[in-house]
Amino acid sequence: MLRYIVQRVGQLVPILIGISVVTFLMLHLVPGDPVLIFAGDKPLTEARAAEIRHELGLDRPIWIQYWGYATHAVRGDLGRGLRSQRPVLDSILEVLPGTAQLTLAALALATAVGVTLGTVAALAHGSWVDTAAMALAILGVSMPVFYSSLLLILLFSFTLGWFPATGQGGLERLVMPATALGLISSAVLARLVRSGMLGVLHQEYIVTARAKGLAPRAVVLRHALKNALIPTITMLGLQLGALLGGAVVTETIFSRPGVGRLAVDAILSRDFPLVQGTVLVAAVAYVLVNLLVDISYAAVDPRIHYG
Amino acid sequence: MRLWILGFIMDRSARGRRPAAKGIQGGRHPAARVAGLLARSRSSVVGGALLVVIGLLALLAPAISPYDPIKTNQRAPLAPPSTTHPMGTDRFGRDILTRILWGGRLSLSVGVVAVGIAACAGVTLGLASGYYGRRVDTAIMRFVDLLLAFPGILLALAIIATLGSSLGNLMIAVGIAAIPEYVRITRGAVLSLMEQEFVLAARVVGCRDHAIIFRHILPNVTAPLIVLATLGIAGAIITGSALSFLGLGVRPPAPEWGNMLAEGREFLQHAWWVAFFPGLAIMLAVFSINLLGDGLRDALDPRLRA
Repeated sequence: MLRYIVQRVGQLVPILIGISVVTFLMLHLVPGDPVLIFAGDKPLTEARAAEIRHELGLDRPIWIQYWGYATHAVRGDLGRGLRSQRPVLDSILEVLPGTAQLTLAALALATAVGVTLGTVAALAHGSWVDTAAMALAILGVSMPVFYSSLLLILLFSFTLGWFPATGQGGLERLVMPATALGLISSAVLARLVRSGMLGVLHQEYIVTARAKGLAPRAVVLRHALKNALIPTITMLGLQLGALLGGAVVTETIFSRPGVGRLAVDAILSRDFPLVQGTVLVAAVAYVLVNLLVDISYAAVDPRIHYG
Repeated sequence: MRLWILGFIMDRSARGRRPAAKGIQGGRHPAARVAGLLARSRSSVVGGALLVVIGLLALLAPAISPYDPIKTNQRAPLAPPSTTHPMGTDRFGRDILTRILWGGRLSLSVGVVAVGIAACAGVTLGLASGYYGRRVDTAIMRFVDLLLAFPGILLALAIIATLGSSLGNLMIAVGIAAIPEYVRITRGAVLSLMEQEFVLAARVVGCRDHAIIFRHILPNVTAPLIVLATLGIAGAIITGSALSFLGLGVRPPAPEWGNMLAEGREFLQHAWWVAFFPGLAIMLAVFSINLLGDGLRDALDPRLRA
């Protein structure tokens, strides 16, 4: 187990380097002169351009520039935002908890709904309940998060007045964004759990459990579901990526402060250090979370041996 | 068995035709077989029909739309749905039905072109990775791992941030973000095919690499790829319209479902129709493609069933 963890952490190093190369290169792949991004509104003279170029190190060879970028990034220095003039990392860390709260709430909701719907559909295999649940799941997969968000706001904020439409803080401001964000994932999970359950329900150990007179409830919950959920755990890591991406849209619609909204605002205002920083932090966070998912997966399933 | 396959392959290559069809799956042409299977699944018929209707409406937009999609009409801003404007008008008095019909041309083509980009790049990389193995495989899979390190829409977002927002860049960004799936599916399929006798036979008779890849391997990985591409168009339409919604894709006044929805968001409380109908269009298009894709998956590739 320890060897597996060490090995898995080792695999992380090239990925982290890769991510930093990509975010570093973003600036250099911008069409035109990168100096223009940093010049601001003041008229750009030749001397001023050379000065900025020198300040940012853009006049040095590219690998030296990368080395500077990477060593600063490792120490948590991602530069300063062009608009706010604050350290980029501070701006990100300030809103990171909001994004974490939203994504985790959406994941919890998606798991609860998805597992329930999938199990019910599998138990009622072939009946109208199954058909209805799966039709619902396909509809859920087809619902873009920006549309479900707007429909929720329209219904629950403007028509019924149950929840505030925007902002952050308190459960009543978390329910709608988390529901909208978790909808697609719950549909994906429902389909996965259903097929997992269908695969498991006819196995011999289930027949045995039934034959020895266990209550149907115990058979389903303790024997079938437990095994059917194993592929679902792997899917959770992937879904978390989709949710982190979806948070970009959800945070914007519900005007919640968060990494996603910060990234979009940064792109729209051409605040490049902030764009690079949010992309870097989001990717690194995602990779780390996936590492945790993989390790817990190895710990949960005794049939799997690694290393 | 081996001799029969060898004969079959030589027969095929002599006539210069693809080896995927007859012989492996029995008498009927595979397309006819798939069509038969699809026709039996009610949901994929519904999905396919709906998609054809949506596609035709978008295609015929210039001929059938009652108004001009861009020209403003100051006399009827934010008019609710009525007989003259079945879906109402937006803040500039433009007919929303008209803009949705025109918008379909942009939104749907973003989906199709992005998938085209992703599939071309992804399949090429997947074929190379699976066929040549070793260093080529390692290099390509590292590249794929790197793309996968950026969660969801974030990679497309980063590409747009770099290249700037325009229709072309939107297609490129959504396409690049979708590459990994195609590489993985193609590579997996190639790896399992490489062990099979007909590939071995093709090598023995002295086929060149590119002939083996394009004549013998590629035709046999098309089934999962068709399924992936179909479902991929649905995903690409969502990502594309999401980016436009955020103001990073197709810019107004060009009608596109995502940016129409973004405009409608401002008037949601008092003029729900401005956002409601474009969103409905996206959902119906994606829904129909998903239904069709699910049916295709069941018909073409039972292993992929989820």
